[in-house]
Amino acid sequence: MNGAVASGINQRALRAAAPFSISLESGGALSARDAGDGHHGLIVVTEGE
Amino acid sequence: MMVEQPPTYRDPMSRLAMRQLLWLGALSLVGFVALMGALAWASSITGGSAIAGRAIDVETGTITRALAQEPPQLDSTRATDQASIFILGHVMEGLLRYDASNRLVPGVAERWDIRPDGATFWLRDDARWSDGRPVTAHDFVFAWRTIVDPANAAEYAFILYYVKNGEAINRGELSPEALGATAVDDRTLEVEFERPVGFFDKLVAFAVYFPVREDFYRSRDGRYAADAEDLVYNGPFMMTRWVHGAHVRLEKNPLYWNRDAVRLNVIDMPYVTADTGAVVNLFKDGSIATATLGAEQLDDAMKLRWNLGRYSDGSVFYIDFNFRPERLTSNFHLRRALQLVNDSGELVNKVIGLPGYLPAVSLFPIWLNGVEGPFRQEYPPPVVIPDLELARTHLELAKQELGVAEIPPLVLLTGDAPIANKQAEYFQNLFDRALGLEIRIDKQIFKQRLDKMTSGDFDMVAAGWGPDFADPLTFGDLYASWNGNNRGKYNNPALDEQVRIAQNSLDPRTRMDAFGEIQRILIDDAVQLPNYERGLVYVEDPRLKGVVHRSVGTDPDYTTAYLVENP
Repeated sequence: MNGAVASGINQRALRAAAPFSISLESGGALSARDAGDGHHGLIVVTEGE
Repeated sequence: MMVEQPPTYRDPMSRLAMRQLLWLGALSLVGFVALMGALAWASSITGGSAIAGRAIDVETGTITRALAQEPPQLDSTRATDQASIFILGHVMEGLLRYDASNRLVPGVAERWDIRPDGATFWLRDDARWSDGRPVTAHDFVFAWRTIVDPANAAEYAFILYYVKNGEAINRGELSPEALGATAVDDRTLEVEFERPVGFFDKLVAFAVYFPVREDFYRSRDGRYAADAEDLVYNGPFMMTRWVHGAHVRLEKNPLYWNRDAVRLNVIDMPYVTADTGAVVNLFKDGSIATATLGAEQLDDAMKLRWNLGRYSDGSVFYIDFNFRPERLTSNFHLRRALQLVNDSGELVNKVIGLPGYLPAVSLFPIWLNGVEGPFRQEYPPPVVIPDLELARTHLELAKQELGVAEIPPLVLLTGDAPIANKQAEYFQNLFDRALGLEIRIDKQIFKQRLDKMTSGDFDMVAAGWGPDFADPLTFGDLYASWNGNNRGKYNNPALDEQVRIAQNSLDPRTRMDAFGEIQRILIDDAVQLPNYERGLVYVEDPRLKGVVHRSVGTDPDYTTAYLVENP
C-alpha cells in the first residue's frame, strides 16, 4: 500500500540503534520496554515467508 | 522547534530541582549522582507526559489522537494507502484478521480450508453490519467482483488476480460474474484459484479483500464511503463523524461479534496534521494521547524523559520516475545520471536524522526472508557507487538522445510532511549542485499526491510502499505492467516475466531467484532511487495500554487497547 503513516518494524535497525530495553520474545515478537514505569508497547516482527 | 516540559510535569520537577540546588552546595559528587538517579526514577514514574487535558478519559473509555493525513479513500474496493487502511482496519473486518501477536485468527470467517486449487470459508452466524443485517458470503463476492470490474478501474485489481478469472475480467475479456468466488449460501464462500497461492490466508486479511454490502453500496448512488453516513460497518468500531480534513471520530460498534474484546469506546481524532511539531505540542498540552516525533523534537523529548517508543517501518521510500513517453524521465541516461549522484546514506544520516531510518539500497527491505535466510543476504542488490563524472557523462548522453541543449526543469512531486519537505529540498539542491538541473517542487497533501501520481502529473515523485501481506511479492510485483499502483507506468517485459515466475511457483528457490532478478532490473535500469526504510519514534500517554504496532496489518491497532487510571 502507498506509504503515508509510519507502521511496522525493522528488526535489524531496532537491534542496532535502540537505546531502550529491547528483548526478543518467542514467536518473533519484539517487546520494547522503557525502564521506569513498566510502560511498554508490543512490537511485532514480520520476517516474511 | 524547542520542546517545553508539559505543565503537569514541570511544577513538581521544578520544586525538586530547587531542592537539588540547595543540596548541591553541600553534597559530594557521589551524592549528586545519586540524586540525579532519583530524579530520573521520579520522572519515569510520571511517565513524563501530559496527563491533563482530554487526551484520555478513563471513565468514558475515550482517547484523543491526531491523524497525520486525511484518509484519501474509505471505499475498500478503491483504497490504496496506509492512512485509509488504518481507518478501514478499525471499522471493517475481513475473513481473517491479525491478533495482538500478529497471528492470523478468525474474523468474519470462523474456519477455513485452503487447498492448491481453491479455498472454502465458513462465516460465523453472529457477524453483523452496523445496521443489524448479517454479514454474508454475498458481501465478499460483490466486493471482489467490484474490484476486478474494469469499469471501476481499481488500482488494486491485480491483487485479486489469484482468484480464478480475476485478470481476464479486469482486462475486459470476461464479465465480473465469471470470477471464481461463489456464495454457496449466506455463510459459505467458495473460492477457485487461478493458480496455487501459498499466502491466500494473508491476502484475505488485507483491506482490499474486505466485504461490501451490495444493497447499501447501490443505495448511495455513487457516494459510497464519501462520508461517515455513506458507509455501513462490520468492524470493531464505527465512524460516527468525518469532517473532511479536520476530524474523524470512531465509536465502538455495539453489534461487532467480538465486542467484548474491544475495550475503548471512542477514538476521537479532531486534528489532522502531518506537522510533527504541532502534534508534539498537542501531546504536551494534554490534548492527545500519542504523538510521532520528528528529529527536531527528539533531543528535547529524551531530555524530558518521555516514554519514547521506537521502531523502524516495514515500508520503503524512494524517488519514482514517470515513464510515460512524453516525460524526460523516460530516458534511461537521465535516470542513470540522477541515480549516480543519489546517496541514500547522506540523505538518512545528514538530512532526516532520525534513529531507526535505514539508507535504502533496494525496493526489497532488509527484513524480508529469502530461501533460508534474509533475502538481501542471499541476493545482495547491485551496488551503485555515487560517481559524479560518470553521472555527467550520462547527462550528456541524455541531452543528445532527447535533442536538447539543456534539460528543462523537472517536477518533483512530494507530500506536505516535514520529512517530505526536507527530502525534496535536499534533492533539489543535490541535483542542481551536481548536475545543474532545475527541480521544481510540487508539494501536495497526501490525497492530492496520490491523485497526481495516478494521472501522471509528475517527472519524479517521493513515494513509498508498505507491505500488504508477508511475502516478498508485495514488493516484487509493484512495477509489473498490469499493477495499478505502478503509477509511473514502467513497462518491461523482462521484469513482467520474473513477476509471473514468482506468482506461478510455490518453490522458494524459484521464487527468490525471480525476486533477485527483479531487484537487479530495478537497479540496472534505474527504475527508482531508493531513499530509506522508514523508522518511527513515538510517545504515548502511559495510561494507554495494549496498542499494537506491526508491519503487516492495521497499524497502530487500537482494537485491543485499554486505559488504566494509575499506570
